[in-house]
Amino acid sequence: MMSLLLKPVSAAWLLLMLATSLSWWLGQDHGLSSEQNSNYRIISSGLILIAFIKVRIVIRYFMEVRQAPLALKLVCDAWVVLVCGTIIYLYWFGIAPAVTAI
Amino acid sequence: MSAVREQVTKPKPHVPGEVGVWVFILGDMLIFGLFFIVFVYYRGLNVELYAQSQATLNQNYGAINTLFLLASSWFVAMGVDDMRNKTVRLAPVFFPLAMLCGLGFGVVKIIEYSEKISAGITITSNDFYMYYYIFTGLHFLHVLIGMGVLVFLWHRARLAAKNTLARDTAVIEKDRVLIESGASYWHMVDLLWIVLFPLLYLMK
Repeated sequence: MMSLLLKPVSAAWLLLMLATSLSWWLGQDHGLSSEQNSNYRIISSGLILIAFIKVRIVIRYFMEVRQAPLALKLVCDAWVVLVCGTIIYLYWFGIAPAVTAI
Repeated sequence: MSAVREQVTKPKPHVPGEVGVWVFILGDMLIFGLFFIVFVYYRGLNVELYAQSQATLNQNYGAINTLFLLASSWFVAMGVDDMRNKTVRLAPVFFPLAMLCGLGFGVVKIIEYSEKISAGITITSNDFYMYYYIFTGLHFLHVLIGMGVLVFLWHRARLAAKNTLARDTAVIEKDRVLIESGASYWHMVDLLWIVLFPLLYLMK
């Protein structure tokens, strides 16, 4: 049983549990989201970033993509980067509704 | 000793499970990826409504469910690892434990839905709740299918534990593909919730 806890996947799991607890704590309203404090945007971006780091750990260690052929590794990483990047971009800048373009 | 360890930790590169299952998994991830992007886009057009509605969600439910799925994924990963041995001992215990965590997720989800519905919040209340119900509902459907997959993994594990003598390389290899396919699907269910949690419950 002890040897199971020493496997890399168990370390990954511990890290994921800690990251979730951190997000849980960060997501609580510590007065940070009040108007005086604009840090909430940084914190929200951080929460998204933490989520996608967790996703990558799940892909690499739980789904064992770290032992998969390069093509699968690249496809998975492309998904993580594209979805995470688009979310954070839209969160900060959004896109003006297309109607005004005419 | 070190040579043996090397072999254990660095097997030949291979797609975990069936390639077909991965086509399905990546397709599902693509669809949910679009869901996430659509949600953040529309949120940007009406931030106040989304923030007000989000404030009514119970973050604790979202967080506890993340922990449930992570624990469940760990049990599955341990089960998969055990199934690679000739003598299977722990997998018949790990898969039911994973199902127990999945069940915990379901119970929390049902409590959460019924609280919302009894407060008069439904899918038609506003755009935020529409996305909330559709995304979490579709995800819950994945959890239910995943529970069925876990039943199958448990069944294979019990067979494997009984038939140690018949477990030659071919049987182990066949089991590996089946078990890895099911496990990869279950981990994807976990992965999607990891993103849904901050997106729906936390992002201010």
